[in-house]
Amino acid sequence: MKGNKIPALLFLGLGLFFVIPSFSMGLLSTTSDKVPGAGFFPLLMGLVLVVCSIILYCRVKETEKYFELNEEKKKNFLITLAALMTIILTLILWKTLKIFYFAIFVECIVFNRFLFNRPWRFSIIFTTVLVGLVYLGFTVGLSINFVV
Amino acid sequence: MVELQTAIANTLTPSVLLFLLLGVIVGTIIGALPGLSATMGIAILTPVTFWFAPENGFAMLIGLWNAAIFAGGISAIVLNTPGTPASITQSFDGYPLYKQGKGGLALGINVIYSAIGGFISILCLIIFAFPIARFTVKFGPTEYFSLALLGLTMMITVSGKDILKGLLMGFSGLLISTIGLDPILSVKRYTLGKTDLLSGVSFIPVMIGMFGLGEVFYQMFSRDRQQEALEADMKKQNLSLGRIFPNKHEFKQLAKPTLFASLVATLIGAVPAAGADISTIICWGNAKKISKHPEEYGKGSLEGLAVSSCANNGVLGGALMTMLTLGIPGDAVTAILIGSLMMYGMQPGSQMFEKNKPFVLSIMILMVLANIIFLVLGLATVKVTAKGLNVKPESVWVTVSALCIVGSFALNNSFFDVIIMLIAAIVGFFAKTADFPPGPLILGLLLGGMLESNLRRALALSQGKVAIFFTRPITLGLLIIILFTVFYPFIKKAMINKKRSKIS
Repeated sequence: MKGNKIPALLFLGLGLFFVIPSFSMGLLSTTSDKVPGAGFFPLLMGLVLVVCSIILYCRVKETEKYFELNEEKKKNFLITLAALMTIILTLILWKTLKIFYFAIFVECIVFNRFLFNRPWRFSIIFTTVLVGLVYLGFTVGLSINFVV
Repeated sequence: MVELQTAIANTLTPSVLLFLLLGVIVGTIIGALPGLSATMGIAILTPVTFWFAPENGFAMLIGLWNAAIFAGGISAIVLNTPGTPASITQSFDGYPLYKQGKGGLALGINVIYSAIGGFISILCLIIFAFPIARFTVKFGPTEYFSLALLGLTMMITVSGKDILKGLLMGFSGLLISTIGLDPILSVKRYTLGKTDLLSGVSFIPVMIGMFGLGEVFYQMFSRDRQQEALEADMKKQNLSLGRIFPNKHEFKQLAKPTLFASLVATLIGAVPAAGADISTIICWGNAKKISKHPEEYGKGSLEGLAVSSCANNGVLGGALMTMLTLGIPGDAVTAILIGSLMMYGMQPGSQMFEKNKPFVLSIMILMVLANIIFLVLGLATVKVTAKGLNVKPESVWVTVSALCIVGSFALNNSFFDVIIMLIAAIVGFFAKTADFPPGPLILGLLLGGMLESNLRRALALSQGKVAIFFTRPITLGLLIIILFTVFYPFIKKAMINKKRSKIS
């Protein structure tokens, strides 16, 4: 699929997600003061979104491209994806082990050492200082214990 | 008078002044470092400030905001890389001045004229805010509905080249704002059975995600290693800075254009969604047109740099005026400040001027003090800050990503908010990559509740008749402005095409 076709379909999906249930929420007023129902506003906005997404889909030219994925961009995309995976892993670690500072320490080490190829020594010192400052500022200073 | 005395007493306390100073220092660092913006800094710091008293928290945010905007000029001048989007035009003249060995003067002008722009816009805020607030007492649901729609429309039309993409993002934001409990009938909507979603999607984690972590992802993706190597070489050059202060003749020359730019910037700031980046471009362009020496612009014009610096900070008073009096954000930062005020239990608008007048006056005093502090600090540390821009982007990315997780959790001690932040970051990254402006989505999310509840209240008042929107003069006026704003680009395009076809 070229250009904006995928975003158009995603917006269409989002619009329909809000439009379809809105009918069961009540569109017209059921009260004596004629306040429109709970589904009125989402239906209105959802329909506009659906129409706009269809226009966007139809507007796409076959020659349209977002950007060229050259070698550098491909490398950057992989690093960005790895960064996202690292953050997801951090959150999973935090949720399962319930030790926030361990999870954030791992995240910073992975970022510094493996994604950005900083030396081990730098990575450990940087991470220790950053996590230490967060601990001092948030847990000691503001009594936020990061308990999930 | 009593309220002013209360405001002064509440503001001029050691703790408030300390938080203001801290905010200015943090803001200077954030603004000077390319890759960090005032919006990002405020988004990440806001959850932290909720743990302090409102005066202290707001002092920090106001200090950060004012300082970050001025400090963006430092890297624009020294590295030809704007520290914040609002500093783009400062690089046009600031960097050539630096290359000519006048870096100190450029940095001095940045500080002095940013403060002057700030003071003039705050003066306008003080003069006009209360009369506007009194005027808005007449506003009813139809007026607030139209204002919210105007804010959203402005954001859609100014934020990108493609209005359709802006509309898609704006309406998506409006739809996301409907998640949770219906504001009038308290019916559950789109909660998917989750209690976390009963209170809706929190605005601040979305801001942190889109403007914080999402921006980090985007910077990682769009990284240009060749450009970075060039910038690293530039940093090593270490050109001499020379004098900092403009002389008497230069001050005299710069007086008129900078005064005009400050007033225009205040007006632009007052327009919903028009921020400092738009203001500086408009003011720089206008100043060049009316300048006696337009040929110097872009090649090291002191006037060009001074006008850009005024236009930068001149926006703040105007944006705050719109935010405080109408409850509509003047730019992205004031959007976050609205969220911040609501967390403290205050509703921006005429009510705030009645129920929380001392706090409103405190904000104005804080704005003045913030400008004084960054003026003094900025001038004292000009030469030091210019040499301190050696932080690698990777270090910034690691720090920001950690702070985004921490900040979004700290807001409500909620892991769910961290998930929202991450989803918003992914959406923000793809939106920016595919050229979909994130601003309308944020504004839709913020203004959706106001838009919906006032629309339905208005229809309830009129017993379901839509004519109520056309019979009230202020509402009708606002709706006409909205229609003009939406259709003007198309009309302009059609007229240009007609002219071209006539010529050919």
